[in-house]
Amino acid sequence: MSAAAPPPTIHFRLATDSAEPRLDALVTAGCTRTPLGAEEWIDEYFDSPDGRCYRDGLRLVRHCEGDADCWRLADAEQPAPTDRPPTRGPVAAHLAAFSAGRRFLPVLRAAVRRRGWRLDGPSGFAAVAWEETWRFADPYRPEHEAELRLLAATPAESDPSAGDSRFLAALLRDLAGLAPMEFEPLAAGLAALREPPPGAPRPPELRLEPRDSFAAALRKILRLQAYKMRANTRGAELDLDPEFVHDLRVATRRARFALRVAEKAGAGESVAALRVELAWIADLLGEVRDLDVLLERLNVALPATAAPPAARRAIRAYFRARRDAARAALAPALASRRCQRLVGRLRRAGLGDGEFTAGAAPAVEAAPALIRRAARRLRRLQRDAPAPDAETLHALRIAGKRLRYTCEYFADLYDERLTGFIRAVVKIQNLLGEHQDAVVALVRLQEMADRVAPHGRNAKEILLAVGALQQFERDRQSQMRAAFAARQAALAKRLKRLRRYLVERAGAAPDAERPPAE
Amino acid sequence: MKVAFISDVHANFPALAAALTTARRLGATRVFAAGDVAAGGPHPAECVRLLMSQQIPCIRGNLENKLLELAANARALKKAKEKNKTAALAWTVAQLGRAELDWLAALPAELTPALGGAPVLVVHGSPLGDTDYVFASITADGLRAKLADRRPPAALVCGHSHVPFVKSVAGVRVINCGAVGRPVDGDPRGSFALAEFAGGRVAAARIVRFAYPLDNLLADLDRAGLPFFDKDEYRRGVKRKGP
Repeated sequence: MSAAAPPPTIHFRLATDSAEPRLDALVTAGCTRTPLGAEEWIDEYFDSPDGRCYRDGLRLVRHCEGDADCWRLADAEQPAPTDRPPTRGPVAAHLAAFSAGRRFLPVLRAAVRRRGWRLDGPSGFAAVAWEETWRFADPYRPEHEAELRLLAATPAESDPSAGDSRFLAALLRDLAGLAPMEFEPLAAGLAALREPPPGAPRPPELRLEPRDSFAAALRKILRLQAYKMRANTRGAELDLDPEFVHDLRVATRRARFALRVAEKAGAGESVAALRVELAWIADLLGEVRDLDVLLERLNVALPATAAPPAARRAIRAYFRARRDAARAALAPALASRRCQRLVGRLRRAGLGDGEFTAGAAPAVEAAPALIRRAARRLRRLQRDAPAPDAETLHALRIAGKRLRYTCEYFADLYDERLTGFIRAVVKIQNLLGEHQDAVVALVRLQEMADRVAPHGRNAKEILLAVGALQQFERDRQSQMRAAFAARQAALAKRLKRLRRYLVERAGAAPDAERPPAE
Repeated sequence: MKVAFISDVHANFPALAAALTTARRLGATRVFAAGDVAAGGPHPAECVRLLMSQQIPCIRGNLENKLLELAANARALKKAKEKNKTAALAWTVAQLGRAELDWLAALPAELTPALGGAPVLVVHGSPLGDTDYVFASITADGLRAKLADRRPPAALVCGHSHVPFVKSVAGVRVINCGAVGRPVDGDPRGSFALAEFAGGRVAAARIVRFAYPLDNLLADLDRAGLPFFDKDEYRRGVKRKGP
């Protein structure tokens, strides 16, 4: 049998003053106030690098109070700190991942001081009120901190009625004059530090609305990418997890493509300059990310070769050193004022409605043409090369990516049929991405082979292992090429359906929509 | 002694809290409530609990009587939920716990305290009943008719009309407290009466208007999603006629 849920705690914002004069208002209303003493503790909040814990509504907390130091997991399923971890559901999945050694990153540190009072009303109503000071700090930059003061109140009885909480809230708000607030420590702490939440879920204000002009839609798209870049910069700079570099690179790519779209639609020169500046950070990120991908591939490919351990170690060490060198160039760039300015400029990207040709038009009207243009380009490439070589496959991949980005930018304006199309494109993209990774790996492996001193230690074994790895990558290339060929017809059909869908949505005749070139 | 008389709170907790705070600030040592506390607003239980916890002497208003009738009759309550006109009352009954309903049921229809030696009669509508009215236009004959064969008190305190006034009629200080939570005289501030009793008579009496955090009330109406209460009436301090 599960224990009864504890009474909900309600929170009120406190300014710099003490809570006592406020609570005196309740004392004059007939309540008695008894001090409960003071407490102090430190909570450290953790999340997975991809923000899954946060997105699943879970809070993994390391709680230190005096000599006691424990981990606890609080979430919607289990609102109270618990000694018995759940065995099913998302909480259990995260705990299993944690036990299996998956990395969980500290995202927030909170040092909490509080003192409390018990409030007893003349009719038997009782409550506990805590004046709390939360000092939040960035675990990686402890000097970056912010303070939040609040009053946390809860009915004192173990089994209060729903009315008790409402009455307590009404007393504190209307009699004590306190302003109620929503308080969830992780979200409140990150907001106080002006840090995006883990995983950087898209803020609601950056969703596209049907009434948005094209310029307004592009501004939202750019602000979203700036937000994603900011959310992943620190993790990439500190090298907390390869996912940060990946997400930062993706945001940079999307921002560059959005700027390209704006430029093509007639936006000003500043947009072009910003795109050039983004290329600077994109190149640095690309170098690190390519090597991260290669190192991940080696984890699969090396065991498949019969290479001796010494050769495997040497190959890994070589690429690890290359990766360290690439990161050494990336980290100061990410910490630089230039990078901060770049993200700031992106956030403020001035795409005034009247400043470029298509800016003032509604996004709903401008988007279909963009999507169609991206789809046409992909279709043309596909049609012109029924048996594409590596270079064409790469071009197809880029064209597919641009189509995917364009669809994703404007997905808010469409229904789930567009989302279904995006999913289908992503599947094909993954094949082409895998193919391209194999191409890059082959180039890198060749570079390494060229650099191995012919008479160096283990040279022969290393070269043989590199050869085996190259074969592995060639095989992957062939597999991906075959898989792509098998999906060519389906892709063509999908593209046709997309075109029909856009025409349907626009309510226009298909013939009128057909471009003269086709 | 200074005494505050409040009436027609109509389940408006921010207004009730502000009224009590203001009364205390103005030196009132006792508070009496002249009915219609629990119905007609978003905070029925909270208002009743506050009066309970502060042990404020209170009488039943016409709406308390309706609430108690509904609470005692499951069929009538079910029907009330389905009718626009009575849905608010049915909702209010659902908000009240057993303790609050018992407290309401135990309230008297009138109070006759002796304050500073002065006999006072506290009723909701008039001495004739809780749905009768006492307006500022009342005459000596009218008052005698309403008091019937009762001995005239030093002060007659009432509410119900939501229109506050203080007037001496035939030696009786007639006090209508107005409404704490639903003013209708074009002034959105709440009202209550503050009277000073000394030497067996009413030394002074006046109407106090007070502002309260209307935003808190409107936010609660939004949060609870209550369609029965017209926010504009609270903002403007008026009562709109029904359609």
